[in-house]
Amino acid sequence: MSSSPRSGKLPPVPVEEPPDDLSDGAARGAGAGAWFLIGAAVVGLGIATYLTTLHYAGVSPICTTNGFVNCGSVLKSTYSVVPGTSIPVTVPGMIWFIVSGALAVVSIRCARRGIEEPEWLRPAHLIWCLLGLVSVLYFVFAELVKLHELCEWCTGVHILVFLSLLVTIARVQPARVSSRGL
Amino acid sequence: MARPSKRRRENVPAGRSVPSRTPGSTRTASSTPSRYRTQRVQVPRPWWQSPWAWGSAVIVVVLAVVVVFIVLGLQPAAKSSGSSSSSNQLAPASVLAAVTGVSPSVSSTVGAGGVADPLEAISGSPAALTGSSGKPEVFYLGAEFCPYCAAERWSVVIALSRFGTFTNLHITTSDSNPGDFPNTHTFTFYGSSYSSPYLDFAPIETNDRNDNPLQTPSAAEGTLASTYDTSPYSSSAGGIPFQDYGNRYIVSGSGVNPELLQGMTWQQIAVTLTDTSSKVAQPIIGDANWLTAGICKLTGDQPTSVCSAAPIASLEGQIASS
Repeated sequence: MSSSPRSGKLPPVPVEEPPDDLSDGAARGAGAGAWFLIGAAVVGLGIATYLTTLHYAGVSPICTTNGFVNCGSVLKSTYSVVPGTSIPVTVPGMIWFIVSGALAVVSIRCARRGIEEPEWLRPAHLIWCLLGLVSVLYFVFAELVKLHELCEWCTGVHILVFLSLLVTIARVQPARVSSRGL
Repeated sequence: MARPSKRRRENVPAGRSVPSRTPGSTRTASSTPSRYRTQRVQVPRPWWQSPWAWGSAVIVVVLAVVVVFIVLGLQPAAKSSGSSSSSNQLAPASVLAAVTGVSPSVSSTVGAGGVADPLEAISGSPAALTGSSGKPEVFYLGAEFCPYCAAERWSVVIALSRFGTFTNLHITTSDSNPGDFPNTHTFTFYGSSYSSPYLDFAPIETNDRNDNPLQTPSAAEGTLASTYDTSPYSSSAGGIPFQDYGNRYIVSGSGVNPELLQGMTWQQIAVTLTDTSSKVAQPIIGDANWLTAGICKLTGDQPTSVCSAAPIASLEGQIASS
């Protein structure tokens, strides 16, 4: 039997229900990725806030202070402040996590309200994470090449930024399901 | 052929509405007889649209960059004595302003700051140490890893700034050895320059904070160190910091205990320099006043604005004659 659409008969193929009134982006929802980004932002913001507080209090953090893994030394190095200023780099770190978390919150709020996400949201989040990755690579360069020491708190933050980038990459991928006229 | 909407409506009993579909529910194509409807099906994607493609690429690139960093980190440090410090920041303007602008009233109030005369007069009559311009020279020998050098530099910078101007002065910290006042915040003379109408300054930082070689003393400077960085001028032969003031005075060790600076940033140390009651400022400024008095001995009390001011003139009178 011909399977031509003109026959008017279709084989009983399971098909997914198309969304009625939502765009594709809203239909797939914010998902676990957005919640992960919020979680990463909260943890990262906590670490950055902790290190910033210790910087201004002049107190060493709870960490290794000897050998290759030497958080105390790294956090007191010249790379621990924004170049040309006395502002600890943890302050821009706090800002980064706040913005990242806020972008994820927007995504979740849109999904809960059943409205479409702004088109710029996920690409903007991806660009923000790429900027974060560039900063992370700079700090890893400073630790490994210049200081020859590694800070465990910093590494934790770096991993959070990197994982956030991977999630945002996944979130800008086109929807897995495509429409095809029958 | 009936339109789908009509046929669907015919299947619904009068007075009843079509049950709403729940999102994500499925149905069979047989219930959607129209060829005008669309259905969603799994279609193969190009490889670059795979969820894992870009993520995997990023992972590979980042891992490759980190490996490059690790390899670079394992390379021995550059041994050239270039004119710039590659790993240290320029001193922040606020810190520079604090150390080069210690108030005369604060300096006068602090006086010796409880610091004993650090200047050991050289016996005999060795040839005066002069710079290339013929002016009296202050020779400094230290290293970035050394916490005692770190503490002493605060006083040296304050003292020398009263006679001239530093440029390209960087900040650094001593090494992280936990048993020896780790990470003492300070300046480094490596890569800096100093100009003064009254004296020349010749600093040598032999190693960076990671003990990599930075600068090597000239033969003449090495002779100075081997001759005077020993008894009776120095309690520990070959120790640093070592300073020679025009071959008239030797300063061995630090007049400032690095323990006082532990846990303090450059900014926090700089801020204390306006507080005459600070236990940090007193030895730093007191030691700087002694060094200033020693330099005044070399410059013939020039400039008078520095050498005649309190407490410099008084301290100068207390320095043992050579």
